[in-house]
Amino acid sequence: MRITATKVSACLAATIFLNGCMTSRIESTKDAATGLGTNESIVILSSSYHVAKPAEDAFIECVTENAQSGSKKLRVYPAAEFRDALFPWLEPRTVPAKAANLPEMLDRPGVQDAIKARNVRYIVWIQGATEESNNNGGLACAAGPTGGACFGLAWWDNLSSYEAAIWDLAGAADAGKVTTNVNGTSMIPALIVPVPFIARTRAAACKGMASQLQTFIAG
Amino acid sequence: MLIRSGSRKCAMDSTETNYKFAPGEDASHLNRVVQCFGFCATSIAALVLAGCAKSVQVESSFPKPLMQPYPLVAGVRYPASLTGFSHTEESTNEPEIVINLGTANVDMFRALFNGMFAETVELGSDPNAPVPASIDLVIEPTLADLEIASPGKSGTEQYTVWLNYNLRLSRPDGTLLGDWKVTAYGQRDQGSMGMGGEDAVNGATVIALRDAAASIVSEFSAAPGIASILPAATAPDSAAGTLPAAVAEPAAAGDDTGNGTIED
Repeated sequence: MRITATKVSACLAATIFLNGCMTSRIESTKDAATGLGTNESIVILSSSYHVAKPAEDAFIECVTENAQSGSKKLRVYPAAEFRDALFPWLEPRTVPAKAANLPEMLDRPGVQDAIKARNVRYIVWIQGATEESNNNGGLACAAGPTGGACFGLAWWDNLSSYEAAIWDLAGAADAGKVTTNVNGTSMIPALIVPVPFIARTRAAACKGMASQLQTFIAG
Repeated sequence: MLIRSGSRKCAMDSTETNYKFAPGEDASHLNRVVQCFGFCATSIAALVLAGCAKSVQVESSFPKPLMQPYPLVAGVRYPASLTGFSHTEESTNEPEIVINLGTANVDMFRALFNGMFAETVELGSDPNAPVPASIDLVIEPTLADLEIASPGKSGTEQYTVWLNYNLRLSRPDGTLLGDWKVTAYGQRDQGSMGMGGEDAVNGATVIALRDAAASIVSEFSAAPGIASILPAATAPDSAAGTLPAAVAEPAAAGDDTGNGTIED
């Protein structure tokens, strides 16, 4: 009996697995010609919380890692080292709120030299978040001397929405932006054993954004 | 130029786990079991929490500010309350958090003042000790308050830290220029699955320390009494490359939030 129930649970899970979907949408808007020299690099930072909702640390790390891989890989300068080199002009309190204010930062003593010494051509500011919504269903679990079991079905939606603003330090201007939105539905069916199927929208958004950044910056 | 691309794929995996449990409808026996289980779990959790106090020794290296130093010789006095600062955050349903900030406080101010001024001299902690005549400005920073909000309290996924400094600014003869209140803020994501709380607290505190330094650099020219000691030829925004700063308001009686100015 138990084996049969487990088999049914597995079949149900497999069916749901096949039907589970994520939808992704990536857009980029280019305001100026782009391109990266052989020795030039970019730096990827989370937006200031004075300006927008900064992306999670894990998302920044993920985009940084993915942007440096593949056939179109970019040279990415370490974010912490760049912030230190320009300290305190890239701190949340002091960073330019928009690209139009870049010249003011670049005119500060030592800033241009610090950037040139590191061959950083673009700053990529990432804002956004992954949010959960539409929680539905539920699971009931019980445990006794002979074992335990869960029954039910719970599902919810995840939306990962991020935007990257690309600033050209050589031109002291806005180069454009890349946005990514990924929707997905996660669910946990349980027939004795709960089997979670999680839509990894943030990971998908990260890979999509990194790939689009590579294309965008390559020109 | 607008470039659009999109994709739709059927891809789900099971590397993350999130369980939600709906309450049972008709299970008085089960309820008793659950109540017993709940009591036991609460007791165990209380014991575990008591044994899981987080102690965070804030550590980081702080860079010198990238700026043209002010043409001043600053004497800096670090009181024991700053060098040995420790804060304990107690909560009934979360582990206690102890933050030791003394060393990081001094490290931050040392790097900051060494980059801000033409010369910096560290004075002893005794406020009555004579100050060398070569000094233009005496700074005595104190950390008046530290506040911390954990994800459990704030309902966010971040640890958040506020630091409230008071920088007492005076002339070498002891004449008070003013008390300059500097408020700083830092936040850091908690680790995955709620782990890594110590790292997140350390990270949020370091960001707040850097924010304090950024605030001091960008608003120094408007700090209480500073205009009276800056050389006339020094136009702060061009010489030091600082942002236009807010004008410090004179402190009203009982005002514990604004800047206080006493000028001679």
